[in-house]
Amino acid sequence: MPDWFYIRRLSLLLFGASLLLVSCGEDGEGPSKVDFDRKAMLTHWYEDQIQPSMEAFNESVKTLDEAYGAFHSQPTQGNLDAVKTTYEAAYITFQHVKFYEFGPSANVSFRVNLNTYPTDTAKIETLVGNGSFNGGAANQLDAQGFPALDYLFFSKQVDLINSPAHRNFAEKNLLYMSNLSQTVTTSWQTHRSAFLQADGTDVGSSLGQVVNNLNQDYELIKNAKIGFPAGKKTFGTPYPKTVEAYYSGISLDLAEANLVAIHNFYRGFNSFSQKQGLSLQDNLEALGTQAEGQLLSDLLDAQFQDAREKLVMIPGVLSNAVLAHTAEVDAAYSAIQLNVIYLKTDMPSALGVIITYQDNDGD
Amino acid sequence: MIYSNRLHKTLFSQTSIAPLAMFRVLFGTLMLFSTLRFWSNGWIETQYIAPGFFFKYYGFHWVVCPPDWAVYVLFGLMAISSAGIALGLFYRFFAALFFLSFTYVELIDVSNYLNHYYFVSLIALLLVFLPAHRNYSLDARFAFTKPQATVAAFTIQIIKLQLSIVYFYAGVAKLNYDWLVHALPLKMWLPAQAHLPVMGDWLTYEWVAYAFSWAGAAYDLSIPFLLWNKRTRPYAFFAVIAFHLTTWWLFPIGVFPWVMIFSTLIFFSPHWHQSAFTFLGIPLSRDFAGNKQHTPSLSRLLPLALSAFIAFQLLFPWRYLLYPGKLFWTEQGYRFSWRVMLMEKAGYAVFKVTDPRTGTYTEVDPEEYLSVNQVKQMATQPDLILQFAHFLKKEYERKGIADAEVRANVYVTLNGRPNKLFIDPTLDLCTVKDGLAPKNWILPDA
Repeated sequence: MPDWFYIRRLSLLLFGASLLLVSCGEDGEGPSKVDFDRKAMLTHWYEDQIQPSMEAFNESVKTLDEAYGAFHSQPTQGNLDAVKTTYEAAYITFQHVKFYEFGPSANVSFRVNLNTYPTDTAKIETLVGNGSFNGGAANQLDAQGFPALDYLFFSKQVDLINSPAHRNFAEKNLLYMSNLSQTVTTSWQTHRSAFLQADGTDVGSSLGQVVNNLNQDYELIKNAKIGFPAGKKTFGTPYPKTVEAYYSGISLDLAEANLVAIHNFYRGFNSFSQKQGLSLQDNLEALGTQAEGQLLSDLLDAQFQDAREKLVMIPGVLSNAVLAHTAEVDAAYSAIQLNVIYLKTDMPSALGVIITYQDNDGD
Repeated sequence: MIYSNRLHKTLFSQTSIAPLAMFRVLFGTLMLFSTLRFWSNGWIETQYIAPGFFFKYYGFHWVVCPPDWAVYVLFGLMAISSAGIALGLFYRFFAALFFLSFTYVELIDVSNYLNHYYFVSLIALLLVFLPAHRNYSLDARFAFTKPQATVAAFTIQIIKLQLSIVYFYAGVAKLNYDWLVHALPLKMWLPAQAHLPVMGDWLTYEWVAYAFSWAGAAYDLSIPFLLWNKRTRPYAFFAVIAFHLTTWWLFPIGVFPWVMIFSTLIFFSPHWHQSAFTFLGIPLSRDFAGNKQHTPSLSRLLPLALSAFIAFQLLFPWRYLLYPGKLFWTEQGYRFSWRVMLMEKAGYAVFKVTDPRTGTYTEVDPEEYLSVNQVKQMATQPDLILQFAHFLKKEYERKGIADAEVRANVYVTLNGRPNKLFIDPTLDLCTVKDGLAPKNWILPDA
């Protein structure tokens, strides 16, 4: 067939295309240009979110370490009470940084090393007995970090004031924790350009890392903090002793702090720097993605809010509530789960975030 | 009669072996590179060693993932045999070995399915039967085979036809409402690349997504014809390079762009390929048969078998018409049809395992058993959801829960539309047998 045949066909096709473009320009379903400064969002994340939060956490661990130092040299009830207060503050602050499990934090397995629970109290007692502590070792993970402190400071089985062996174990654990926290905070300080330069949407990009880790941490609230103790993974049989911070009973405060931290991050607010900046919510708004007859950005915000409200409705301590107030626990669990769906499907899809390293040709 | 004579001439006249031999060299080299890349990316580990569960292809349940060392052996065989293909050394043996090792590995887990792996398997199968080693090869140099300067034309046309099918069907697949009228999914994917230098900002305009969508469809539909036509060929090849480099630049699609760019060289003239061999310093081995006709030994069977091979490929992609519902949503008849980069789909699945004796249930997140990639693939594909449900039944049987019922809450978003419940959450998936029959438990889209 002669060339002009193809050329005529092609020009027809192009003509058709341009007609369609004109007719589609006015259907008003999305922006004609996606106007969003991703780099500015990454800058806000690094400067106003990650950095100040890490610094605040490091400070809170230092404060705890100092309070413990005072108690260690003078083991009085008054000093122990001061330790407990600083411990709770540090654990709450930890909830604001544990979803940054990428970059320098991932390099040292920050979250796993500081917060593997339920803690193995028999293992702790053995280690207390033989005076050893091997921070970060695989077999030490469930006998270190905050959960170990929770047991040492709050369990009725432990008489910290009168047991030098327990005090030594706590001291070693705290030394490990403050070293780790200092290392990570220092590493983050020099991570600025790496974080800002990874400005794509692939799995190794900063946006990709943030979205994937935020989702993972949010799912941990659902599964580890609430689901498992409530029996969601054990055919309905609750396991109250597996709650986070079982001995101090601050499980719900920690869960709420975690939820608030993620929600605030989503909205572009940070409670340590008191700064507001470009956020995931703004990004989704700029994309104009719709869900349930409204902007996806607003829907996610509302569902975060709803999850928070349902969570604070749980009365008393969580280890009791999973037995005695299952309706409230279930309501909170469902509200949290509802948002997981949108966070793991609609949001990454809209942002174009890729979740695996594999080659792709499918979707 | 004239027509059939012309057809006969197109298929059976003798033509230079150079394009076919060059195709062999390039394909073998790319496969060697691709195998080593896969290996060095650590993907053997993440795809075949780490997972404790593999999704089976229907009809290929007998394909199991071998022990760790054997997986490495398979990849080693792939590397060696692709080198054998490129060099044209013990060619038939290595072509067959490559086809078998590559295809076996691909059949281990559906969640790794990529159209370009399917393409590689098809080409490898073809090469086993084509006389691509009869010259410009070590087999010819060492006289392991009788050197030929020419081959029957159909041995080259078949590869052109194969490439044309890939392009044309990929083009036909783009002729859908979302792609043409809404520029989806490119309207979602392109702005995500706004950070790229030079063109980045440009990608955030909606009209660019429309232009890319339409140009992409026009390219796929027309490029086989433009490559086949001598006069348009140089422009067409320029388009091939531009198109594939653009996709390579924008999307993580691995070696596929390079495979296509180098494969389409086969449309170039024998003279071009002979010059290329001269340029590469690969000599033509002397053909003692002179001008005698070279017909492959299986001369009667081979054209027939190749016709069946092509007929299968022309028909198989249309099987989706036999299923109810929307193809992109149900994915019944989606694979093996050159549907490439067509949709943005993401899902979230939670399984509920119920103990029938107590009526209590436990929730299972697939992450507890599957790799990130497996979870991602499973959550949007009903047949994989079903396989995983059956796996959970066995898993819980092992844990002492007899006759467990497995249900799944799955939510899927397609092309940026709000997520929706994907399958019937009340159905005990263990009561469903996997098969080719329509899966009526997939809930409708929209």
